[in-house]
Amino acid sequence: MEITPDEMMVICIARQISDGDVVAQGLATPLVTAAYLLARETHAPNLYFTSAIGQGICRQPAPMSITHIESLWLDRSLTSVGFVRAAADILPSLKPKEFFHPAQVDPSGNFNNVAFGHHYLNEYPHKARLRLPGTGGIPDVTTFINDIFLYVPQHSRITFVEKLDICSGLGHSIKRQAGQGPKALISNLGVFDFHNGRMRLVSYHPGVDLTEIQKRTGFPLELAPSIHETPLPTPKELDIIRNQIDPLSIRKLELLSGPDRKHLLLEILNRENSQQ
Amino acid sequence: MSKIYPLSDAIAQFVKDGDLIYAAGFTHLIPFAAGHEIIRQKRKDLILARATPDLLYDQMVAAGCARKVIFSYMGNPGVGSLRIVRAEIEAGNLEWEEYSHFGMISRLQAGATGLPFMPMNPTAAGDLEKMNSNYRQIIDPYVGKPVVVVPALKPDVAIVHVQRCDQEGNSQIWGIIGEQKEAAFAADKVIITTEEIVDDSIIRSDPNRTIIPGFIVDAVCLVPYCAHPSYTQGYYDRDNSFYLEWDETSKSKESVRKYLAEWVYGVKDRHEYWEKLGEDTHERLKVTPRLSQVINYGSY
Repeated sequence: MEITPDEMMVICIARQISDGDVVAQGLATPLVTAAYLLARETHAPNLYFTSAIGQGICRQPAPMSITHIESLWLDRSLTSVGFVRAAADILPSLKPKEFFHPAQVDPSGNFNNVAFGHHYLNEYPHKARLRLPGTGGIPDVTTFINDIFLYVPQHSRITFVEKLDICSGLGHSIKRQAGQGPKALISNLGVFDFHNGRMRLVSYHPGVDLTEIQKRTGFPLELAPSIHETPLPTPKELDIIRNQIDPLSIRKLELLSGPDRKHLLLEILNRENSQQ
Repeated sequence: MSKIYPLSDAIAQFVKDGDLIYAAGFTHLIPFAAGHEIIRQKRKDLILARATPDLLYDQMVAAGCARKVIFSYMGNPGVGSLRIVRAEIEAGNLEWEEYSHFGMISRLQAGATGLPFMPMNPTAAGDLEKMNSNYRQIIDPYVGKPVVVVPALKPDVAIVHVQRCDQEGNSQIWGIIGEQKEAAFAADKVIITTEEIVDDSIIRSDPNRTIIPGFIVDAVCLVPYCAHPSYTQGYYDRDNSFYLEWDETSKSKESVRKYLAEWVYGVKDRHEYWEKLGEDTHERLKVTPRLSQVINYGSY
């Protein structure tokens, strides 16, 4: 059975999770959610979930869902402290492991989720080539957490750039005073580490060749000496992803855009509604 | 004097053209009915502040109520971007002021506690800090290192939707709590919209759940289903299909105009709006009760 890029990303993210970790979660990051659930089912049964959105801490996971996207926080939370206290108390004290999805990332792992366009911030009125949703808590937490990871579901030169238009997430930067830059970046093509603070390809997913990765990366690719093919998930892991954790394929949404994404979203919603 | 107002009277009395409005709520309890009433009363030049603007601000910008947004993250949750706010910013038609979550929270906390500004750690978004003149640096007088400061945010009006309150506005919220308390304390005027007005003995039976005390509340408006298409935990669910439909609706000015004509200008109030949604939708959004365990406060 063919293994798809979303499944490769889920397994690669899950491999970065250790038992006992406190992990943080965004609202619309199903690849990461699936990976946390996979890790919990396999090698990390004692996970703590936290988020700025849920504003609490949970130990019981919720099944993946679009219609009940917040169920983790609504009926399983051990505490619900509110947005202000979550950002001011919980995130700085627990320093959770978190996977961020950059719109642009540079070779040092600094990243941008504000807007595309160099002149956005310098001209008035501020016109942007593309306005992004904004950074939320990323500029805050990336200055102090030690376990930053990045993931890019659609590897392209739009995302991997030599120089950011705007910096809103701190990577391996000389400006850093606390915490650490990203430990790894997982894309739909391969896995990167940061050697001496510079992004380096560690493994390529099955069926992906290096010229393809270079073609879709906007700066010269550095290769780890030990570069290899990303190990496949086991049949058991695959079974857990496909049949137990995410039978509706919600994880695939992050690899799609435009009408394809909309189509899958509608299909999932209809299937969920008919199950209720 | 009674604080109980019909929502339309509260908006007419307390929301003026040019005001800075904080319509709070975080994934649930978003006061859509109040935003729609502001649109119906054709307020202009508003500054719309909220850490996480969603569809309500998209609709208010579309209706021409706003000249500026203040935010830290905006989106159509799980679906995509706020097309109208985004397009207006991209075109240079809408002013904006952007912070990290912590920047936004720090501004509210300063506003709520009566401090002129709040110190915070420098963020990773140095570019944002440079261009937004509200971010300043001062020297920490204790250790001599630079710290970032942001000024108090003091909304003219905070609008907060709650599950229940008494007629004085002692308001209880449960579930995901956003920055409602800070927004209310920071604001000059506070409008509470509520699913239920209950006897104050019910509020007193569980005072730890009271997030906003009545003494800072100016108006209490009974508005069941105020938060649709968002939700009110324990009362009704989020209307997920609405969020998907809005992604289509907001693609063209014509379809937005039609939406506003039918669902905002075309209805008198939230009651008419809710009836217009119809029984199938009411049924679809029902939630199964799940009661918390009763606790014992003791009798003293």
